[in-house]
Amino acid sequence: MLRVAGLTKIYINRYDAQAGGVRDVSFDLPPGTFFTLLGPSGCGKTTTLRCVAGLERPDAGFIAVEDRELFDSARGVAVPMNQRGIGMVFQSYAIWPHMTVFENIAFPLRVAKERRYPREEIRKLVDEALATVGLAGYGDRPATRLSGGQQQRVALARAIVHRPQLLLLDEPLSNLDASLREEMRAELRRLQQQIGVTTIYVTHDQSEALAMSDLIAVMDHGRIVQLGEPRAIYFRPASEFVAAFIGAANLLNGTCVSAVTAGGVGPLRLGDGAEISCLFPSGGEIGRATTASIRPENIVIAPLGAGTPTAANTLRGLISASSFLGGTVRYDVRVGEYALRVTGPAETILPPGTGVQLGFPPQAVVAVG
Amino acid sequence: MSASGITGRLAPARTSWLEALRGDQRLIVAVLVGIVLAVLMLPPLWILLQDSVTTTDAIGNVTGWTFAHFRRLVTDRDALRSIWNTLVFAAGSTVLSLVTGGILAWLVERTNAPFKVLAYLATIISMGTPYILHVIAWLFLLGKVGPLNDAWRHLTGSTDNLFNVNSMAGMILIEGLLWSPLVFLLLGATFRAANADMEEAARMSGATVFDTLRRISMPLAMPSILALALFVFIRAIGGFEVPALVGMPGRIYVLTTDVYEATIVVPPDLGYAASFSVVMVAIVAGLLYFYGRLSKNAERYHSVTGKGYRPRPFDLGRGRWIAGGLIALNFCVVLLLPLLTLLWMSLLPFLRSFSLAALPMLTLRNYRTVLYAGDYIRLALNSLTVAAGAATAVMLITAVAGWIAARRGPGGRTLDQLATLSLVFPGICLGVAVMEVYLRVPLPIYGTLWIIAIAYVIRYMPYGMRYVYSGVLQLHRELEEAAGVAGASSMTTLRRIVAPLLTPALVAGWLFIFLIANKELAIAVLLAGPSSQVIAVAIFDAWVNGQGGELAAFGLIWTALMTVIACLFFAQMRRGSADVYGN
Amino acid sequence: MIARRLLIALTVLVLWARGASADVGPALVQAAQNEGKVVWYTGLIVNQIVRPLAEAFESKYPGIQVAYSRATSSDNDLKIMNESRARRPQADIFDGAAALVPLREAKLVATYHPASAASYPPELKDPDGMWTAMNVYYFATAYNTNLVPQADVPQTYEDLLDPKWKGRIAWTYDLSPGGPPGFIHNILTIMGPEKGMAYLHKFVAQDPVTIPAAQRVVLDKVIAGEYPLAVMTLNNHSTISAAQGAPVNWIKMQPLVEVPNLLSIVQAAPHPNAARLFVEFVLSKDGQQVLADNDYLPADPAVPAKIPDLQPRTGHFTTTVITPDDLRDGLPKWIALYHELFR
Repeated sequence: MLRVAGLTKIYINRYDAQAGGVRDVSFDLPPGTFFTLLGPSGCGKTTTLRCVAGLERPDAGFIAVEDRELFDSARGVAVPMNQRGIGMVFQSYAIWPHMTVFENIAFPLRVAKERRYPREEIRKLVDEALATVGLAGYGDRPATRLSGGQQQRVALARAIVHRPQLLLLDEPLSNLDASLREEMRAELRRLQQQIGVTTIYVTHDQSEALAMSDLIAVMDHGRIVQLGEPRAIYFRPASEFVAAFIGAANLLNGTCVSAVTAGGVGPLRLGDGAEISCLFPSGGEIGRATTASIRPENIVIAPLGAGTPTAANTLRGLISASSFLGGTVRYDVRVGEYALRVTGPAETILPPGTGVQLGFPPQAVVAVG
Repeated sequence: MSASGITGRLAPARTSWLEALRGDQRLIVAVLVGIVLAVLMLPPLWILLQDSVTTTDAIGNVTGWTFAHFRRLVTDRDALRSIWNTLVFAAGSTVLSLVTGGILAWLVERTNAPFKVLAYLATIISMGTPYILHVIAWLFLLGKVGPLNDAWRHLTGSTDNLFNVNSMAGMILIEGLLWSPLVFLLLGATFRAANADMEEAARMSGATVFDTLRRISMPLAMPSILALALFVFIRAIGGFEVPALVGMPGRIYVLTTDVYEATIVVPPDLGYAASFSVVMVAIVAGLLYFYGRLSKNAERYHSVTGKGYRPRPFDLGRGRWIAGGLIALNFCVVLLLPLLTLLWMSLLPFLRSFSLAALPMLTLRNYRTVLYAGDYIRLALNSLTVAAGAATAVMLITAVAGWIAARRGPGGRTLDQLATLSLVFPGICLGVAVMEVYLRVPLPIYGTLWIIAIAYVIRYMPYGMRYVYSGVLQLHRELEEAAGVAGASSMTTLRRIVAPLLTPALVAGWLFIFLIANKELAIAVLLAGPSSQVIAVAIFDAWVNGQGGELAAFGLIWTALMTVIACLFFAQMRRGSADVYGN
Repeated sequence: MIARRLLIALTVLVLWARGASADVGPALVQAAQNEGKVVWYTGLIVNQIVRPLAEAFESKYPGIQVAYSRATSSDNDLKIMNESRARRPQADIFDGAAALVPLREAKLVATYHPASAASYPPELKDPDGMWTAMNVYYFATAYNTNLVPQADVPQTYEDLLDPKWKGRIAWTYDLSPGGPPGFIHNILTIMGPEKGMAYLHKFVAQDPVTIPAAQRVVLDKVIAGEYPLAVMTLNNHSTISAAQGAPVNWIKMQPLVEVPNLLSIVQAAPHPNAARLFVEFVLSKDGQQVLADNDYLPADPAVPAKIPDLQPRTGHFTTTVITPDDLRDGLPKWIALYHELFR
C-alpha cells in the first residue's frame, strides 16, 4: 500500500558537518498495517514521517501510495503536501484556537480541492468522526476549552474525517500524563483496527511501540537498523543498539569458540573464561568477538547453596545493590568483570553482599553482533 | 516487508524553477509583494544618490555629473560644524533620555514605588502628542519670558537670563525629554523580562539593593540598554523639530536643518541637500548594522522562565516616598508643565509670560476659531484619513511579507530587507527623496494627500514588519502545517489560519503606525501642499505665521483625541505579550 | 470711415496683443462662479487680513470659495514651481514683495490688466500686466515700551550700534526685501557702498538674533518681552497690536524700507476666471477699503489709510523704495551678502 524506497535527506549544520537526517530508508507496508518508527531523538524517525507527509522535501528517494506516486527524485515528481490526501496528527495537536471543534474537524472537507463536499455531507462526516473518537456532541465547543486528551481526539478526528488512505501520527501521546497515556494507547490501537487505515506511528517509547504495532522499524542515526514484528525485535535484536534500546538488556562480550549454524545454539567464552550457551540467530565463526544480550527478567536469581542449579547456564556473582520496585525487585549483580541487572520476585529481597547464582536458558541469550 | 531494491529511482531530486513556481503559491505571492515593496522603497534611495552627484537646472532637469556637492560638504566649514553639532546633539539627548527614562523604568517595574500610574499616564499621553507641540511648550517654559527665567529675575533682580534655551544645552534638554517616554517603555519591557533568580541570589548572599543593582542587574541589562541607546541615538540624528525651532534661532545648525534649508531656498539646492542626505543615510546604515548585532546579543539575556513568573519588586522601605517623588516629578516635567503651558497659550490673544496681570486677557477666542472658523476640522480629517490609510496599507503588505519572512519562505530574507530599508532614512531626507521621485513621475499626486500617505507607508513599513514578524513567531508552526496536510494551499492557510490568529499583532501595529504618523513633522513638512495639510505641518506653519494661540488650542484638542486612541493601543499591547516595538 | 474702422481694428489688435484686458462684467462673474473656487498663496497674515479679505469676497460673490495658504515668498515660489514641474498646478494667485521675481524668470506668471487698477499710479502696476500692487509695506524698527525707556529709544540706524543692544535685536529669517536683504540694501543705499559695508560689519558684531518665522512672530516676541528691539517689522502690525493693548511701538528711523506687495496670477492657473475676479476685487474700492479697515496700507491712493501716521506723506517720514526691477537685479546680491556676513 505504501512504498518507500531509498529515502534520503541530509541536514548540514553550520559547521558544514552532517547533522541528523535520514539515509536510504526503505519499507513496504501492506494495507491496514500499524507501522511504528522507533528510536531515540535525532534518529530520523520524525524526518521520515515528515517526508512522507510532504512537509520536508527529500534529497533522494521514492514514495508511493497504492499506484499513486507522491515523490520520485529520479523523475522529478513531488506532490505538494496539500494534495497528498493524508491524515496527520501532530505532536502539539495543532488544534486551531479560533475555531470550534466542529470547524477544526470540518476543515479538510472545506478546503478539499478534488471534490466539493455539500453542507449536509460535511455535517455527517464530522459527526461520524466525533463519534468514532468518542467526542459526540462536542462539536460546538470552542477549541480553547479542551483538555489535553480531548485535543488529541479532535486532532485524530480531523485526521480521519476525509477517509484518508494513510494516517500519520507524530508522537501523539508524549504530551499526556502517564495514566492517560496507557488508556489512549489502547484506544488508538482499537480505533486504527476499527477503521483499518494504514498508519505510521512515530515514538521514542519502546513499550508503546511493542504494545501497538504490527511492524516496527528501529532507527538509529538516520538508518533503519531492524525492521520486523515486535516479538522478533524484542527476542532477536539485530544489534547491540536494538538490544539495549528495546527493553533492558545485559550485554556480555565474549568470543565464539566453535562454528555455529544460523539459528543454532553454541558456546560463547566470556572474558573470565566461563562459557555459556548462546543462541546465534545468524550463525557464528570461530574466534569472532561476539556480544550477547540477556534480558534481566530471563535470569533466575537464587542465593548460593539454595539447591543445585537446573538451568543450562549458571554464573556466580555478588549482589551490589537491590531496589524494591513494587511488583519486582531489581538487583545489580557483579559477576567477574561484568555488572548484570537481574529482576527477581518481590516476595524475598536479597540484600546487597549476598552471594548468588544466576541461571538462564540458552535461548534467552542472543548473540547480537 | 523488506527494503525495496528499486535502484533506478535513487537519483537526487531536481527542482525546476517552473515547477517550484507552480507548486509553491507562496513564491508567486512573494514575488508580487516583493515588486510592491521594491517600487515603494527603492526609488527614494536611487533618487538621493542620483541627485547628490548631478547638477540640475532651474526646472529640475539633469544637466550633468559632478562631485562638487560632496566636495562642498568636506570643505565647507559650516558643513563640518553641522556634523559635529549633530553628533553632540544626538549623544547628549540619548544620554539624558536614557537616564531619565531608565530610572523611571526601574522604579516602576522593579520596585514598590508609589504613583506608578503617573508614569504610564505620561507615556500614553505623550504617545498622542505631536513632537512639535512639546517643543513649542518647552520653548516658552525655558524661554526668555518663561517662568524659569522670570523666577530667576525675580529672585536675583538681574535682567539676564539664567538659561538660554536657544543653545546646544537647550536643544539637548528638550530632545532628551522628548525621548524619555519611549525609553521608559522599552527599558520597562527589558526589566520586566529580566531573570529574577539572578537578583534574588544576590540578595540572599547579602547584597543591598544598590549593590545588586550595580553588580548584577545593570551588567545583565547592559546589552539591552546599549541596543536601546543606539536606537535612540539613530533617531536623534534624524531629529528635526528641535533643531528647527530651538537651534536655528541660536544659529546652531545640524544636518537635518541644513538639508531643510537647502531644500527651501529658491531655486532649491537639491544637490547639496541630497549629498547631506546621502552622508546621513550612510551614517545611519552603519549604526543600524551595529544595532542589529547588539540586539541579537541582548536577546540572550532575556530569561525564559515562562509567563506568570514576575520578579518580586524591591522593597525600598522609606525610600519609597523619594521614588514616588521622582515619578511625580517626571510626570510634571514631561507632561503636566507642557500641557499647562499650551493651555495658557491657547487662552491668550498674544503670548506673554505667566502673570496675574495677564489673567483678565484670557479668552476662548482661539478655541472658537479652531472649532468654527478656519480649516481645522478639515485638517483633522485629512490627518486621520492619511494616517489610517497608511497604517492599513502597511499592515496589509507586511502581513504577507512578514509571514513569508518569519517562516523562511521563498525570498523571505529579501522581503525583510526591502521592508526595513527605509530605516536608514532620517525623516527629512525621506521627505526630500519622495518629493523628488514624485515630481518626476507622471503620477499627479504631488501636492495631494496621496504623496504624504505614500511617504508614511515607506517610512513605517519597518515597524509593521516587526509587529507581524514577532507575531508570526509566536504562532506554533504546526498550526500551519496541519492546515497544509489537511489540504489547504498556502494562501488558504494564510487567510483562514494565520490571519485570524495574527489579528492582535496586526491591530497593535495598525494603532502604533496611526499614532506615530501624526507625531512627526519632518516627513510631511516638504510634502504637504496648501490643500493637503496634516497636523504637524499645520502646527509648524501656524507657529511660523504667528498664530500661536490657535495652534495651542488646536493642539490640545488633537492631543485629547489621540490620547483616547493611544489608550486603545496600550490596552491592545497588554493583551498580547510583545512590547511597543514588537520585540 | 475706413480710417475709423482701421483705428478700431488697430485698437482691438493692440488690446489683444497686450494680453487679456479687464472687464468686471457679469460674464466674468458667471465664469468665476462656474469655477467655484480660487486658490491664493499669500504672504499676508491670516487672522489680520487674509480672512477678512476672503470673507469679504465670498460674501460679495457667493459660490466662490477662497482657499488660502500662508507661507514666506520663497516657500510659495517653491511650491508653485514644484507644482508646475509636476504638471499639477494648484495655485491661482499669489502675492508677496519678492515672490514674483523667480516665477517671472520661470515663465509662470500670467498677464492681466485689471480694470480696478486703471487709476493707479504707474509705479504701482506692471506695464506688461504681470503684477499690481495691492498694498504697501513700510518696514520699521519696533521696540517694547516696557523694556525700553523713552530716552533710550534709538532714533537713527547708528543708534542701533550701541553696545547695550548687543544680542538683543531680533529680525526675521525671510530672505526677502522685508527681511535682512532689504535692510542691507537700505543701509548701502543711504550710506554708500564703503560706509555701508563698514556699518554692516559693525551690525554683525551686534549679534542680531534670527527668528525662523515671519515678521509678525518676531514682533510677537518683542511684545512678549523676549527682545527689546526688532528691525524690519511692519509698522502697521505694531499699530494693530498696540490697539489691543500690547506694549509696542514703531520708530520713524528714516528712511524706512518701502515695499509694495504685488498681486499676480499664475500661468495655467486651474481657475483663471475666479483668479481674475479676485484680483479685480482686491484692487477695487471695496477690497482696498477692507485693507484700510484692517489697518493695512492700501495701494490705491484714493483710499486713505485708517491711521495716516503710517504712510510716509501723512506720517512725515522718508522711505527707500524697492521696486520689482530693483529686486530682479539686486536681491541675489543682497542675499549673498547676508550669507557672507551673518551665517
